Amino acid sequence: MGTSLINYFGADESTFVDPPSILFASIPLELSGETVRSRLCTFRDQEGDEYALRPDLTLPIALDEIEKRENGKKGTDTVHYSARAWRLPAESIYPLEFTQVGFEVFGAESSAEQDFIAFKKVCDAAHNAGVNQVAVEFGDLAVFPAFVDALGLKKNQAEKIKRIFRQARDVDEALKAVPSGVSAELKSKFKGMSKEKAKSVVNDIVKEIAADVLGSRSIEDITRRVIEMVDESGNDRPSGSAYDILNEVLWINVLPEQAADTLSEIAKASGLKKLQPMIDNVAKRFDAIVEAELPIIFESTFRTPFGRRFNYYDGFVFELIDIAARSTAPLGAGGRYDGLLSSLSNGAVNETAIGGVLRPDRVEEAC
Amino acid sequence: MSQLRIAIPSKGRLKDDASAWLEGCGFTLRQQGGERGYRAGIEGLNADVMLLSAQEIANSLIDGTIHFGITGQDLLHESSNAVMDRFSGFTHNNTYQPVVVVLKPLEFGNSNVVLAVPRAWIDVTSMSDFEEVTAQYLTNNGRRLRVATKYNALTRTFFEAHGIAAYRIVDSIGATEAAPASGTADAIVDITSTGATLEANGLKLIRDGLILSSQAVLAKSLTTNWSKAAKLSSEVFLDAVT
Repeated sequence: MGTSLINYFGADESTFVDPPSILFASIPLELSGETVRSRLCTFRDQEGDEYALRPDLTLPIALDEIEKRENGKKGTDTVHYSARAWRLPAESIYPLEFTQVGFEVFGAESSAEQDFIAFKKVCDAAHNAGVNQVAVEFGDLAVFPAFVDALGLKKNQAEKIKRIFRQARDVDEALKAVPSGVSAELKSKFKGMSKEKAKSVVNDIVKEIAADVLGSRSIEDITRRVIEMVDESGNDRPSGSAYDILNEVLWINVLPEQAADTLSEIAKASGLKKLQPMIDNVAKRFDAIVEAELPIIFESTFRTPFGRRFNYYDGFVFELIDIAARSTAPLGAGGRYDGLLSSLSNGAVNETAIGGVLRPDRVEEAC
Repeated sequence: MSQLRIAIPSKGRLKDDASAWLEGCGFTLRQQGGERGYRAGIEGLNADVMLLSAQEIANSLIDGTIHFGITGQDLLHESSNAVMDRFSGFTHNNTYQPVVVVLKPLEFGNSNVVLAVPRAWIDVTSMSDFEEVTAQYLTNNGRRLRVATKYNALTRTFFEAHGIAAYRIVDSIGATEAAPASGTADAIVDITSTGATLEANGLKLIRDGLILSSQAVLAKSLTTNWSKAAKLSSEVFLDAVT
């Protein structure tokens, strides 16, 4: 099964890659945080350094791509792979070790057309391998943040709402939690103060309480945040109308061909004009998918929150589910992760990325 | 395991308080091999008493090598998320078939598992502040703030409940409160009774940063085997202590 899939992904001008199985554990942990630890297979060497078996192929391939780009590689780079990955299963019915067959495209235009091509490639490979029909879940992780930005909220408030969205927490509940806030004493002390003066006052306060332990934060970091808090105090929750708009966007659950119209209606009713390019992109992508009439698609939906807990992804996302098994475990998945190379390289390499993957074991079950 | 097996802390204040509590319930301990012995008998009860570290007692309750044990709630909840404890108020993320049940809080060994941050962080007074600071630090520096602790599981559960994702845990075995001053971490999750040690190390508590209010408890293993003799002794024991 793996051979037929890899032959399909390797048919175009693509390079076969076989990245390292073992990574420094700090790479996935720094990228995704401690929450990913419960899924990582980790071990330590005699020096105490912690390593992880690759939890997927995207991460080591992205690291290889960064190295290539730092050594002068330019333009579009398409690679494909067929290899084992290791992830501690969320439920005991799933295996710890499994094969992934997939592809990644780096440095191509970040467009609806490329989204369609990547999606079609995964569908065609599965169909070619013998899968008759799947249910498809679509999402777009750029939609909700675009609405947050268009609402013109205060910076910290907007960033917080975006983080809550990605953590798959209830936005309403999270915003009702104990708010960040500045004490009345600090507020009166810093209101209207220049940055330089504020820094000096923060310094004085820190000295006064004899607090010489700062951790990794600097006096400048603390001052900057105190000033932001004073400027933004009283704005922990968005206004009622902004909140209603975000809630409406958050729970969109429609057919993919209705996604752009639904977003457009909300944007129009809210007077948010800057969103049109993002909505046009959604329309173009799903128009292409619907027009292609891919025989493998039995049913499909678009949900705004779909995929928000997926690591790496920051745009179009999809999963293929075997309709016969009705299992929630996807046999294929993919999407756009334009920010990954930049995150992994601390901004040194900034290239777009999109990829797709199939699980041969699940493809076989679905045939 | 034919005989009833009970474990109590092997040293320090916890040992003294546990012995005194048992005495108060009518069970006098007779430590074998003197003060340094690790086994004891109980007058009036057919039971094998082991003196173990509080962590070993938690582990033994979980793996079923003892029937009852006296240990800290913090250690039980850190060691397993399958602890049934209606006294703690701590909520694990997932629900599992319980392997240990807390029978009774014993009102000694009281301490709190808390998040503490540098006192100089005058802009951090709540978990919401801490969430924002960790996220901003990651955005601005491309790396995560570090939290030193031996309570990895409790920290992850509590932080997840507060939406805190932009951090790394630094394993700490001892002197955790010194980690921010020594530069190995930025904040800590540790156990404290009065907060004085935290303050002496330039740290402060934040207003909703209490993770678990812990005390010594009598707990029962749900994974152990019960012989007829152990069951009979257990009835006598429970009648007297609960």
